[in-house]
Amino acid sequence: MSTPQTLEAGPGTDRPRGRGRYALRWRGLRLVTSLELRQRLRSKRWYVALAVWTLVMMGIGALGLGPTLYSAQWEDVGPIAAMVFSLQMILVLFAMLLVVPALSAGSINGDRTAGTLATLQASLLSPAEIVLGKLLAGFLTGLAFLVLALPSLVPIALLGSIGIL
Amino acid sequence: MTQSTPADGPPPPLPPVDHASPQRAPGPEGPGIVAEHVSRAFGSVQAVADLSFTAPRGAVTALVGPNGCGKSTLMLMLASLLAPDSGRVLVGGVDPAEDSAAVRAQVGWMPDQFGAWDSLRVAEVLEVMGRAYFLPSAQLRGRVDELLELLDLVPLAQQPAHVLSRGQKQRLGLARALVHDPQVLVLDEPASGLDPASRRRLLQVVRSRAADGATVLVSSHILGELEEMADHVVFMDGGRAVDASSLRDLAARPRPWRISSLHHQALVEALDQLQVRHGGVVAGDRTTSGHAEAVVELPDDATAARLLADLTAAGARIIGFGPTTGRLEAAYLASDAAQREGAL
Repeated sequence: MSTPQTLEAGPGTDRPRGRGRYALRWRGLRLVTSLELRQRLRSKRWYVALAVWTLVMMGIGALGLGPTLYSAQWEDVGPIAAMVFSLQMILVLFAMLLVVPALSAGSINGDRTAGTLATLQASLLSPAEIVLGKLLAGFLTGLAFLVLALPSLVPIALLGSIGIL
Repeated sequence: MTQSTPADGPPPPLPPVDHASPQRAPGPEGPGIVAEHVSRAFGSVQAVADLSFTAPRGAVTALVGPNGCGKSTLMLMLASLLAPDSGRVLVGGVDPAEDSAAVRAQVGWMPDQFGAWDSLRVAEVLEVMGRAYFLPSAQLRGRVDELLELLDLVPLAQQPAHVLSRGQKQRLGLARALVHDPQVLVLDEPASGLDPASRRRLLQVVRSRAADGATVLVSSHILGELEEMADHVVFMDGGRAVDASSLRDLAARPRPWRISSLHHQALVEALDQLQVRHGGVVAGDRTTSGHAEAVVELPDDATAARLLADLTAAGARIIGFGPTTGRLEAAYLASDAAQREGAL
């Protein structure tokens, strides 16, 4: 058995400072965000979804540009690449706009059903930290869709001579 | 670290958590929990109606009542998760409506049905809860280890929460409620699903916390266990507190006593001689104990002691003498709530 320890107050940064439902502390926000991401990373369904997304993006790129690269002239590739890029970006934005709020709202609802939301609410975390933490986790998750689309987006952007701006 | 068994003795007391937080509730004097004419409705359902009671510090108060009488709703209000429609609750002298953070800092709440984050390991769940209470990072690990030891969760520390049995989840829930060393414990059906050894451990933990000065409020339908655990009891019915008493004072209330004798006729004659009213003496061949038995209603424990002495002197050959139910159960069964069909 470990030697009993007396917990002492940590440095000032460890003490909660804000009060009320709108209190926002970095520690609280980071806790909720990391909790969400940890659960997501341990879910097999998540990896399946990302794999499907990656294949879809690459498929669009291949199907959109493949025939052109095979049969058309080189100067015709650019405009078609630009069109395929636009289509992919619309999909990326659409996915992120769907994923971020859906994941966040679903997470709050899921926690409520599972009984874990009340546990967090009964702690010293503020409602703002819980909601924004889940929103941030949803945003970071949505970014994963963008990152996985890059291997398909970047070559097509280069082919279409699409600049950063 | 080897797994300790209940036979090793009572678990060590938890070391105090010295938050020195500005949110620590004031008022070391006075009751730990006060409810003053509290009401709460959910649409047309009046869950709590004009409820008033107090739970003292340094003691365990049992909350007893039929299903749907408002126990869980009351506990949600004490955990500052629900606001009363009228009246007020004070936890450690603080009204959650005025400073919910101060109340949450000192309340350890264990709901009757809760979830754990299924993909997290047991130790991780406690770590998350410790961080949710902003415990100092440097000592969080030690705190988690102490709780795992206290609630006999060490062998399960690295298991994901979803593989735990109900009883194991209950122990995890209690550990979660204790992580920040709360001064007020609100436990909703904590013994539900626990095996006998775990129930003994729960009893020891709860008594230990009360001995350290915490206010403990426990609700349960397992009245026999509550009787061992509690110092006071509040009976609820229809959202109201209909009765309150200390466990000691319940001994002064009438309850039925079972008398067992080696000889049927001797018991009959002794009871008639002493003019004790009873519902008849059942012969030994018709009882599960194999002895002749009679049940008598006695006003208090002192009368029971006198009757035992008198029966023995009258040659009744007594082999067993004791209440048919615990004090708590007897008091509850005598209430209006218990008389209604479907109660408990």
